[in-house]
Amino acid sequence: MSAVSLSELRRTLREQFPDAHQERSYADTYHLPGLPPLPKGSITELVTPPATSGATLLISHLLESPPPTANSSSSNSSGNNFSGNSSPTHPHQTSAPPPSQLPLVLIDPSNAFDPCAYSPTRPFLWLKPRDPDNSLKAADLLLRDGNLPLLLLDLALIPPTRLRRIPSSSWYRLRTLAETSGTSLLALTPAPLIAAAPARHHLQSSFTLAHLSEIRRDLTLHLQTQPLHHLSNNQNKILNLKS
Amino acid sequence: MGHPEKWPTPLAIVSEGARNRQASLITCLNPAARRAGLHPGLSTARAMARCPHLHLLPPNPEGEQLITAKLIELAQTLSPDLELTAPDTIILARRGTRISALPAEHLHLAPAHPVPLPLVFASAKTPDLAHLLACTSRQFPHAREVATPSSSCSSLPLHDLLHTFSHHFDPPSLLRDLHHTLALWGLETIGEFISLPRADLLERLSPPAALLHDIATGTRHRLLTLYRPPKKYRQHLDLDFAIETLDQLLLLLRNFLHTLCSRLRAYQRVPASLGVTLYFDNSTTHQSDLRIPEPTTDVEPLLRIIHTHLEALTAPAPVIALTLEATPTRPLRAQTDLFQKHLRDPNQFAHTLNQLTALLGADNLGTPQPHNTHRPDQFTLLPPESLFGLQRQSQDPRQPDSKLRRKAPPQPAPAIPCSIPLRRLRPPVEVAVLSSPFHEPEALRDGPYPGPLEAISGPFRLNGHWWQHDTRWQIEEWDVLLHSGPLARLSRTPPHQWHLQGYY
Repeated sequence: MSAVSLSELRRTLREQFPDAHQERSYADTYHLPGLPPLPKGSITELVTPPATSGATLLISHLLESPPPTANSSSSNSSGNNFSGNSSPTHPHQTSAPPPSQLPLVLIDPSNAFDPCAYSPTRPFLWLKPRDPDNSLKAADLLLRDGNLPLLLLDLALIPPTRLRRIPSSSWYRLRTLAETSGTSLLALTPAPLIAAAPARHHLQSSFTLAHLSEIRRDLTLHLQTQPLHHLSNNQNKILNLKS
Repeated sequence: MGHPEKWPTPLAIVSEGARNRQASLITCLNPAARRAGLHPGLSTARAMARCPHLHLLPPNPEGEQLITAKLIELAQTLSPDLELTAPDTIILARRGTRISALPAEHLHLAPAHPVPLPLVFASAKTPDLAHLLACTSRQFPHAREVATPSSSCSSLPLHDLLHTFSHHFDPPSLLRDLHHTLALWGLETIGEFISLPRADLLERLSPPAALLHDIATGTRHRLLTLYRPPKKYRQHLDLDFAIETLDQLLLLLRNFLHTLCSRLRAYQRVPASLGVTLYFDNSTTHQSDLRIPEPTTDVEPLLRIIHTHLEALTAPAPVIALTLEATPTRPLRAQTDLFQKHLRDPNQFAHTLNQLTALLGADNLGTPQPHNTHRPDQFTLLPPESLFGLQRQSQDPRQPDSKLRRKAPPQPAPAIPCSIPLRRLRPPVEVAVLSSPFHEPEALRDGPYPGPLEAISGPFRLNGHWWQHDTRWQIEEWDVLLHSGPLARLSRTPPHQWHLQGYY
């Protein structure tokens, strides 16, 4: 094919499918409301202390995001087109979760997921391992599979003393698998436990009983995160003592 | 079939509604019943009123399939090219000879043919004429009746022509209208019908009337839809020595897969599922049906699926025989959107699901389906394969093979509106609660966060099945802010049983 016709073909495709040719950042990060961008192919730890409410709003957003429309622009859609390097905690940032046609997998060793509280708009697989060791084995299998963009590992209700028995080499192995397969692993922990995670954040929220009568979509704006290394030493000590 | 003495009498098959006390209808009649003025679709009450000697028979699908199979077996001894026009009618193509000139003795029928019912033979210059003559033959109940010249159809009743080819009328009311019109015109025989000009029939009546004219005059020649027996893709082996290791078993299964896949490829088919049957030395068997998420004739992914399944199996005894059967389907023809992401490797994902099932147990993974009830925490865990059913439907809704078109799961119950989803404690933690005389919780005496409650909201009362004493339930829920803790949900089952249901 000549160079002239090839460039014409590219121009025609760009004109006919403008959405597909917009800049995508999902190759690098996933965006969730209330969270900074999640790096793809990596482990992200989100510390959700037991006294903090609202971590399930993240699961809700992943499960209940509307599927992308054909003509949705990147600034107003949640779907395949992801926003670029916009401010992660901007209150009006549009959420752009991983592609909604692919199943979302939740590894839930504490069997705490409540199906009746969600209306999923995407395929969903719920795993209930009996203990954290089997949770890591399940995560290992899914990371090796490489078909899924994001895994959720909910360890928030597991006692930190139990989680500290997991050797750090296991987490480093999972990190290597994630980097190889390109699957992101978001781990919810009750305390800072995963040193191997390149991205570590602490969830802060201040929900009251009055918030329970508000619309769920509006509550995600109340979620705040702070990188763990930004916490003061005292705050870190408090987190560790509480665990 | 077991009462030949009843065959000359009026017989009718009724629909299943007779057993359910619903209106039962006549579905099929023998010629004697038709001569009595009955027709399919008539209610049994009316049929009995018109023909008091009518015998009603229940449907027997298995018997009908058996008869059809025997009929095909007989027809295949006469000609390799045949059409299964109806479950009880077969049209043979005799090459090189004019069928109308073929005498009966040239049919070469065996004296004892396998079909246990009387047969009617007819020959004509066109398939439709032969079908008409066979259906309207009065040589009953004797078998091996003679071939009938095509010219004799002129004297046949007109309603025989209409009923034999009623499938050309859609909707069926067209047939009734045409029958009524022709009766008004005074036409009773096929000969009178074909004496009308075809062009006028087409102009004044419906196109099917012109089609019937072509059939009756023998000017409509159609090709036969040749019957081809369904292919079976099955491999079976009885072993001379028992197999005790998985490796030996997999070696045999690999050979089976090579053979089956090459046969499937020859007919442009792929396996939708694989049926593995193992026969053990202690007279037990293990049978499993393994669904292929992305049907393929590639041996390695198929063998991996079987391998994963057999790894989780504990054999009670050595294997003495095995069978592998593939269910064929057409390859997926949907062209996926270039810019739409789906599973990159569905077979690999299915393999991963099998590994997860073996690791966690089948009860500990799946897709939750909430029940349509107000009772909290009621759901069913669907197997992981339901993910593929939904995906495949979304990818190719026009999949021609109905076996693969999985039934969509029932619509889930609408989620109970709750702004922050609950993280449940299973089982709920029983706590001792200090409450007011009006059962308002004030403090937790024990549990993970003992102390006074900082805020409460409620009660939210739920109950159900109040009309049944043994299944009625009642619960009272409170949203609370625990002492130095998160938002949580307390529940009280009357009179004094308190539980911590979960955290928000």
